[in-house]
Amino acid sequence: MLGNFLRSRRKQKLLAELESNPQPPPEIFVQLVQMFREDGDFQSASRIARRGAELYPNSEKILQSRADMERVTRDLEKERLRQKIESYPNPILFARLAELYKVDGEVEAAIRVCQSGISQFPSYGGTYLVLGEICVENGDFAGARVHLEKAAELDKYNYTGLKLLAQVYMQLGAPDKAARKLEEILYFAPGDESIMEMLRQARAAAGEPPPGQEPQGAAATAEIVEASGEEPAAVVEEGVQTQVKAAPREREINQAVKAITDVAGVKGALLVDPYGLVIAADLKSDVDEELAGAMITNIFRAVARSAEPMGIGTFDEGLIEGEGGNIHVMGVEDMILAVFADPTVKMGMLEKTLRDFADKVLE
Amino acid sequence: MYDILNRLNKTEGVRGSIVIGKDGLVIASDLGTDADENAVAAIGSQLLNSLQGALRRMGMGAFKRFVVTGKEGKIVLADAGSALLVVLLSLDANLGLAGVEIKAAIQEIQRKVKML
Repeated sequence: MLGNFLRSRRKQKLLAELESNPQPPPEIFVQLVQMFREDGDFQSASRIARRGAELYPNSEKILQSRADMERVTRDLEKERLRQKIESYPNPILFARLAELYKVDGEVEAAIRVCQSGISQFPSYGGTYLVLGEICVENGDFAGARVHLEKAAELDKYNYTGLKLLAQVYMQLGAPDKAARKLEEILYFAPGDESIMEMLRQARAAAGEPPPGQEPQGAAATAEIVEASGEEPAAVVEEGVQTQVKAAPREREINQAVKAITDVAGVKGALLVDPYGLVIAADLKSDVDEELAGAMITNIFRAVARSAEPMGIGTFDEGLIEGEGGNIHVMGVEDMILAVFADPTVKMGMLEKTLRDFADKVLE
Repeated sequence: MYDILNRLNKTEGVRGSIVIGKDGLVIASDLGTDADENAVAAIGSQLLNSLQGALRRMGMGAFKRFVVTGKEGKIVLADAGSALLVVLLSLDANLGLAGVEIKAAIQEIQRKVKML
C-alpha cells in the first residue's frame, strides 16, 4: 500500500519535472516509460519514449526504450488486427497485419497472412505489394516482380508499388521496363524529383534520351509533317502565325489570373494544363510555380479519381484548408486552376471571382 | 463513436459519415449510402497523405479540412487528431450548418480516440 503510494508520488514528481524542465535528464524518460508500461498505459509510455528519443537521439538507453515501446505497440496492433480479421475481415487489415509481421522479422507469418488475405480478397493490390516487399528484402527479385506486377495490375496508381517494381526491373536488368513504370508514376505525380532521377538513370541504362529531351512543339510537328511529305517551311510559317494569334490570348489569361490575386487575402493563383505544366501564374510568395503546378495536378488527379468511388460524381472543385492558408482547386475546361489564400479570405468574394474567371477563360 | 456519427448524420444534407485511422483502417462507420466503407477509408487516407504533403511543401501548415464538390454531392475530410472524419453530403447541403456540426463531432471524436 505504502509502496504504491510512494511510487505514485515518484511518478507525479517525474512527470512534473518533465513538464517544467526544458532539458530533463535522460533517466527521467527511461524511468517514466518503465512506470507507464508497468501500469499498462502503453500510449503514454510510447509518447514519452518518442519525446526522449527526440531530445536524446544518441542515448542508447532511450533508443532501446523507444524500440521496446514500438515493439509493444506493434504487438497490440497485431492483436487488434487479428481480432478485426476474425470479426469483420477486409483486405486492408490483412495487408496491415502482414506489414507489421514483416517489420518484426516474422517473415513466415507475414507470408501466411498475405496468402490468407489474397485467398479471400484476390483483387486487392496492397497484399501483393507486401509480398513483393518481402521478396525484395530477401533479395528474391524474380519473385518480387511477379507480386509487384500483380499489384500494379490491380492498382495502377500505387506510387509505392510502381516505384518498387521499377527498382526490381532495374535489378533484373530491364531498365526499359523500369523507365515505363516510372513514366506511369510521373503521370499522376508529375515533377516528383526522386522519380525523375530514377527515370534519368533508367533511360541512361536503356540507352534512351533523358526525360525532357523528347522532340517537342514545332520540332515534333515538323517531324510529323516531314513524314507526311509536306514542306517543312510551311510548318515554320504556320508556327509563327499560331504564336502571333496566341499572344493576346495569353495576355487575357494572364490578366484573368492577375485579377484573382487582387482579391484581399489571395496569395497567388496558378493555371496549369492537364500534364501539370504552368499556363499562367501570379504567385506572390517564394513558392516554385512549377512545383506548385505539379503538386496541384497530382492532387487534382487524386481527387478526380476518388470522387466517383466516394459517390459524389465527377469532381468539380475542392477547398483544402491548412493551418496557414487555403488552396482552392477547380477544373476549367481541361485546365486546373489553383488559388492560394490566407485563412482570412472572404470565401464568397473568392467564389464570385473564380466564377468570373471561368466565364472569361471559357469565352 | 457510432453515436457521434449517427447524430452528425441527422444534420440536414449529411448523407453519411465515417471515422478512419490515418493508416486507412475504419474506426467507425455510418455511411448510410451505397459507398463502400473500405474504399472510402482507403481513398480518404490516400488523399490525406497527398494533401498533407502538398500543404507542407507549400508552407501552409498542418492539414485541417478538405471540402470536395462533385456533380452529385460533396465530401468533407476533416482532421480529428489521430483520426480522420469523412462526411458525405448532398449537393445542396448547407456547408455552414454542416460545418458547425462537423466541428462538434470532431471534438467528440478526438476525446473518444484519446480514450481508445
